[in-house]
Amino acid sequence: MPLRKRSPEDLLPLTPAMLHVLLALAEGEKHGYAILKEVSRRTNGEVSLGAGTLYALVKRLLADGLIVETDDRPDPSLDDERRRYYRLTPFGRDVAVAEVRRLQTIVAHARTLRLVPAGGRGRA
Amino acid sequence: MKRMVTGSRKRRFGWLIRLLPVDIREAHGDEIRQVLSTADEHRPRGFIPGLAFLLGAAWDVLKIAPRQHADALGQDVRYTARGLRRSPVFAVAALATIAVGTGATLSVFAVVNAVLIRPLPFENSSKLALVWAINPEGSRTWLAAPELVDLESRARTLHGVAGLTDLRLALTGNGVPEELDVVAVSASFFQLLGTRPFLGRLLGPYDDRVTSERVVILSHSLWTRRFGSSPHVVGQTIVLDGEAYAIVGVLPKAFGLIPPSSVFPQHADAWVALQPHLVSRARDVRYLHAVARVRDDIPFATAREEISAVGAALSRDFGSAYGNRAWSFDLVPMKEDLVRGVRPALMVVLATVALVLLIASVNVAALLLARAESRRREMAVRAALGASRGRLTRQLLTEGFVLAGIGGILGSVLALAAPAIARVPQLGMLPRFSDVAIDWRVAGCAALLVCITAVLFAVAPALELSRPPARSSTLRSSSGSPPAVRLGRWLAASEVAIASAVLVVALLFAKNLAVLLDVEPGFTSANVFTARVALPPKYGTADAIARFFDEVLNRTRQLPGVDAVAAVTQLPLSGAALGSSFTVDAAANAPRRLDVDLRGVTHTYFETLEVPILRGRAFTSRDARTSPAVAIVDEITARHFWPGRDPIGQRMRWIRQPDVEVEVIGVAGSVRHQGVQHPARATVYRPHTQYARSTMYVVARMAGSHDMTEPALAGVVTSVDPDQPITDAITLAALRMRSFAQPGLGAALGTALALLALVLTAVGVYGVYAFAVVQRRREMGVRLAIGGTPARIQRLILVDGLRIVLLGLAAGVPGSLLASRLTATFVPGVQRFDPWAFAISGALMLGVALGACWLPARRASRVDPAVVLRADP
Repeated sequence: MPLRKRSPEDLLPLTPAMLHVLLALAEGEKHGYAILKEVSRRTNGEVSLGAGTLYALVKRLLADGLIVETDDRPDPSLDDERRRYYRLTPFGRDVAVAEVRRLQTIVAHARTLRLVPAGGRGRA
Repeated sequence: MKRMVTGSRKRRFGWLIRLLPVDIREAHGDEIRQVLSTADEHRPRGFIPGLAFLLGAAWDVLKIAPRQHADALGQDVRYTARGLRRSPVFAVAALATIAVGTGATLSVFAVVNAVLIRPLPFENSSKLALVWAINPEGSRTWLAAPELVDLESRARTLHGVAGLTDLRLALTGNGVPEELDVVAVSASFFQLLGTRPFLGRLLGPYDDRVTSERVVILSHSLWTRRFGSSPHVVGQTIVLDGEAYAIVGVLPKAFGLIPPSSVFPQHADAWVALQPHLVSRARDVRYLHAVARVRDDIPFATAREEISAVGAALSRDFGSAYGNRAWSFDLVPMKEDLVRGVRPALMVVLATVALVLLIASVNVAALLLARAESRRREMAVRAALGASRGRLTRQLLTEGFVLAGIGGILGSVLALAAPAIARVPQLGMLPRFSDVAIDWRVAGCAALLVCITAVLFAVAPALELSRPPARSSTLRSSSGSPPAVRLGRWLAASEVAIASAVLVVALLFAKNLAVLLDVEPGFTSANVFTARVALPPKYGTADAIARFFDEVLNRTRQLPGVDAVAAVTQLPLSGAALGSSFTVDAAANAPRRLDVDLRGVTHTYFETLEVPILRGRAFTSRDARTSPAVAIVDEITARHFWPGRDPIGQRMRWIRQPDVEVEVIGVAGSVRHQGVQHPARATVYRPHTQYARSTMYVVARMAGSHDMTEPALAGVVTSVDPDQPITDAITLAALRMRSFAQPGLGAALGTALALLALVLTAVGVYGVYAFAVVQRRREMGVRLAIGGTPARIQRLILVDGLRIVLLGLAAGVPGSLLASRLTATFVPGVQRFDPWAFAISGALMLGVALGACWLPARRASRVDPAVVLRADP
């Protein structure tokens, strides 16, 4: 396979669920259940991912190199050894940033059309 | 306690996770299970929340499963396609083998489907049946007119019974006169079949009376050909045999597609009511076919029992008409009756083609095995990169499916040629063969074949790859052949075994046909030209008819090259016969009555067809209408009536003219009138002067180098009567070939399949040994280096091949025995055990398989030791 430097934009747009997973990992490595809880907490329970959906995403994100499994674990006595932890790769971080920028551009465009008030929340 | 609960939950989730493809299961299965367990522990307690959680989890997994499977499959397919592109020789060999195997199977299935499986083109056709009379000897025959009435009134299990008989009527009036093939049927006939008119109406009960106005229903083809598809034809009047018939309807085109058979004539131009055309209402004159419909709520077996009982009751109630003997009726499903002549051979051919497909599959398995061996390194790399055994097995299965799928599509394309079987002259006239087509059943069969073959292909390489990695090749060569080579040999041996069974079956069919070809039909068919002459009603008297035919024969005899000429009421081998009965005044315990095949002939008939007169004399021109009634009987009739006595001078009575005593003046050799595969039946010949029929066949035997032509004979006939046409001109040799259609079917298809099996096996054996030689080339190099000669190396491989072929042949013996026993059970005339078939099959197999070994053996002996020993093992 020819090794070509991939640009983060190649992977855009991300699905909302994917972005949520990346954001959940942005603040540090987490295991699967923690990712689910984090996504649910951040969205006030509006987004609730199932275990199957989550690992379908994890498989994809791993394959695309956005996240990696990590060996660094908390104190084993606090943890179940079967748990696997994931963290964002630098490339994954770039992709998340690029996706957020893309969304920002859309929001900015919406503002020029006065669909949402500047600096405020939309009433859509 | 908590542990147990967790355990059962784990199992529950485990089942859920099994829905996902193996790669995500292996990568994340434990994690998913763990997340589910954790979430389960943190959910609110209670039954309803528990159920909601479980349903939610199941929904979540079900939602992602299809996409995950599709992804995994897509990846495998892409990988397979890349692999096939990289080894084009393998791809072509495997795909060609599968295509040939599935193509042959689908073609045979297409024929079986059209002939045996597809329902007849009638409404609810599984309830349609034919009724036959069964005589005291147990053979079936036609029905008499009163029996039809009795069946209709006595049978409670039937919706109705319709009689039919075929006629030829002259159409005169508008346009050129022509003779039509007409079928006379009971009023209920079309209603029983569920046929609706294309134009006008079909027959009603009021049409089917002797006194009714005559009506006719046109076939679609006659309507198109003769009446220019005019929609105004209904209501017009046509003249048939000098009588006016009102056209009341036209049949749909599809009705012309009814398979011809013993019941339905090959061709019908028009349909008329039966009652006015009944030749006889006597209980012992049998000439009617009967179609019945079993009531919807009655099982077939019940109806059959009742019909048989009705027959038995009739022969008791009307004892004297049945000669005080036990007659009965038989009810046969219409479809079964139509195809009974070809069903056995087709079933055997279907089983044989399945064997050929098995050989093809084994071939591909051997190819895949060889490929798996060379891909061992690739698989090891993939395994090292984390691909699990399940993942690799799945990859192999996908490869199997891709190969089987593409091969199956190619095979289906080959099978599109199956309908061409109807264009093979001898086979096309077999019942329903013109209907062979590719329909959804054939497509379904194709899909099924793809699945079966895919699994077959994947098994061998999967077994092979699941073994632990091999030791080094030098070690292997010292301890014998590598396991893949050994497995390949087993595959080769099994191919030989299966192919030898296919060969035996084909040889049995071929021998059956050869035996029939040798059968003496009892007359000569060489250089005999025949044509039908049907005189119109204007030849009203027996004398007029006799004068006409005598004159035609006299003039034909003058044509150059004519050795002998005669006329007869029904041609031998045509299947046509008039069943009739003769009685004798015999002692109480001797047979008094015999159903015979009655034929009217001119006095030169026996010398023209070279039918031997064994005793007494042939007819002469002095056997005139007014001279004493005479007959010539065949050997069977003579033995029946006068066993051990001289039949000459004996008297018998024809059931239709019981007051006339007929004197037997000669005994003729028996003739197989019904076709060479059917034994001769009792026959009585009468001179045409005393048994006048307006329709006769002229038969002319030509001197060696001369051919009679249709125009020449037509010229003679028109010189006697300018308006008189001839029809159905054909040579007896061609008629004889036609009667080989049924036995020829098995022989033709069997031979084709045997050739295919031989070629496939040769390719398979070659492949296995070519692979073995490649695998052992290092060993060969060593042998050559330490003083082995090329001849010894060749012998080494050939001896190995010989062992495998002999093993295969030995293993094939029980299968071949079983195959020949089954063939003999299904196909009449085939021998149960034929040592010659086994010997020929074995010799052929041995020759072909050893030939296939020889090429790789030669290559092995040409190995350059210096090159192989230096090469990387």
